[in-house]
Amino acid sequence: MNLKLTFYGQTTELVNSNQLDFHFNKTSLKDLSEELEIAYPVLTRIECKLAVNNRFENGGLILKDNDEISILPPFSGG
Amino acid sequence: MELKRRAPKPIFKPGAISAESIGKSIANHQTKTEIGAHSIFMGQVRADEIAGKKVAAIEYTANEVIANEEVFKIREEAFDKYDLTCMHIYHSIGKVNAGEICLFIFVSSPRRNAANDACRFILEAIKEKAPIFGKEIFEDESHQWKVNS
Repeated sequence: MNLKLTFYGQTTELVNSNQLDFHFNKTSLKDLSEELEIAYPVLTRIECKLAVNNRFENGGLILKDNDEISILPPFSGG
Repeated sequence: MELKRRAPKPIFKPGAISAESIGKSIANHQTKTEIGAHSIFMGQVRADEIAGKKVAAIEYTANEVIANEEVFKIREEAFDKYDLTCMHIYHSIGKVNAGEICLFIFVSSPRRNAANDACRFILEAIKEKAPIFGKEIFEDESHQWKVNS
């Protein structure tokens, strides 16, 4: 399946992009998290949260083709 | 008090939050005479000095959809926990210069304790739960990513 990755904050600089298409052969959000760390080892430098279609989900969520994944580094509002 | 329930409202304002808009917001409450206490928190961009370089501005970005939803949940939780009359929350998006206001939390209640406690609760929850990202831009245009302490 194809996923659309959107990077936020510092992660945009770590991967040098705001949005990327990502080809994914596995099933769950936890699998994706592991795949991303392999594809972009720089992301392991900071602790990121993942959201799917603008919702925080647990790792067991089964992903679908064209899902939009937000990669969110530690928050620093205020 | 179902009247207190409102639909998610966007919290983001482009650039700094002006003192005029804050003053106007206060004035708008003079007709609500059941209120006995307002508590206001304003976040201001601090000109931190790091390794001899001064922060000139913070540029804020966010996942606005999630941030608006999270702040809405925080609002609802605050209304459940404290005896509040009304609440207004605004956060800047984009560039805010040092000395300018980037966050405005305005909580009103019949009594002071509820207003003070709710204001603090909302502030801490926003910092923890809203996906907002600050890029600290130095006077020489280099930058670093803000870390909340």
